[in-house]
Amino acid sequence: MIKKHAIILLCFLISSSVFAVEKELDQETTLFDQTFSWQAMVALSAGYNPHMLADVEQEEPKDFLALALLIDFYYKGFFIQSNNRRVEGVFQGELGYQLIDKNDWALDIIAKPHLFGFDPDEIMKDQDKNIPSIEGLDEREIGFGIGLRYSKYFEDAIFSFDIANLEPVKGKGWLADFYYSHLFLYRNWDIYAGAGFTYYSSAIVDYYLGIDHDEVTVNRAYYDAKSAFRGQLEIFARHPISKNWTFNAGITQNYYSNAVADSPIVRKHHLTAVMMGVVYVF
Amino acid sequence: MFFKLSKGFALLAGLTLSGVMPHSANSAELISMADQQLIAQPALCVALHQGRKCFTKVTLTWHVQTLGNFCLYQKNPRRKVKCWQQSKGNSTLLEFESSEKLTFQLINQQNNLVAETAIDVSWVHKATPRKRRWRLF
Repeated sequence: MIKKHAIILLCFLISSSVFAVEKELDQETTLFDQTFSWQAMVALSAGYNPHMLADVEQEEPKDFLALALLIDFYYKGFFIQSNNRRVEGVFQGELGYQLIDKNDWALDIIAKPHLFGFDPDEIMKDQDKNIPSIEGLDEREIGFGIGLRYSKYFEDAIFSFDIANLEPVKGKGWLADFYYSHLFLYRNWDIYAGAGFTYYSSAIVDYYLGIDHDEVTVNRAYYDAKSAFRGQLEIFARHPISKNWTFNAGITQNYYSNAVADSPIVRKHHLTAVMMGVVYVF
Repeated sequence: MFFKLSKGFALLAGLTLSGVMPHSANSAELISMADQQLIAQPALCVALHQGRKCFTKVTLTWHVQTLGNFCLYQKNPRRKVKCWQQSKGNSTLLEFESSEKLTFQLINQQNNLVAETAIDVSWVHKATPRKRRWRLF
């Protein structure tokens, strides 16, 4: 399915590149006078990141540690952008193309996994125990989607708006994501304070967190989910250790609306995640 | 914190092997003797991003063979850091704050260059055409 998406995206990118606005290098500083760049990183982190699903716990040491190879790539508007604040693998990144790239705003096509799916059998195998609340549930596939992102750049901040359609939810799986991040510089520290708001259509919430008639058990009532939202507050800090190493740490507070929290398989309204780690930059 | 040991040794070796006659402070040539040294520690400041200003505390230590009046200058832009009277050596703590390499010079009362050292600026992430936005979780 991801392969199918990638082919569609590639066709779209090739056709749209004719109309794309070239990077206005003459308006950039000399630091940015390039049309090609890449960077590879290895990230190691430890974190407390509770699963949204009830009764799925971080227990083993490996549940708290993560190692990942991250790759950033840019070539004439095409880009792969890894998430080097998270360390859960290169596929956490985004594949995209810059449709419009002005000094203070941009419009990109973005293909990325927006939501983790879950396979109850894999989770129980990994946890080495039966979890009645998810036992017998159908697998929920990764929420891979293609969408548009509008970004507005300020001197030390960025505001972005994403709209995307998720593949597993055939045509009705829309989400809209607003995010604001402000960068505070303190000596060699980069400190980001962010706030986000994400709207999920009822089809998305129902696909991931709804309980169909054939999934009902004594531990799990029928649940027809409505549309929902998530609010986020985040602080993330990064500091250089040497020419190749950085130290990262962050905390995120998530708040989910009733349509999420009322699901019989969901933990609760609030989830707090904390991480710290190091990144080696090649 | 960001001192590159190998670079420090190279600097010391350079000072040891360089000439023995003092030249004018305007000369680009480094003049120093084995016992006329100016050392910056750390000699490297690492910023997160290329082009970003780098901050660190640097100790500049100097010593010479004979007593005299000496001043420590930052070169380009030229700025007096500190002066000492009738001294053979001393050190000073400097708040380094620059996006590029800065050179420091020890000048005697005859305005001759006695010793020179530099604090380099490096970075972890090179400049990229992409402006990034990421959230944590």
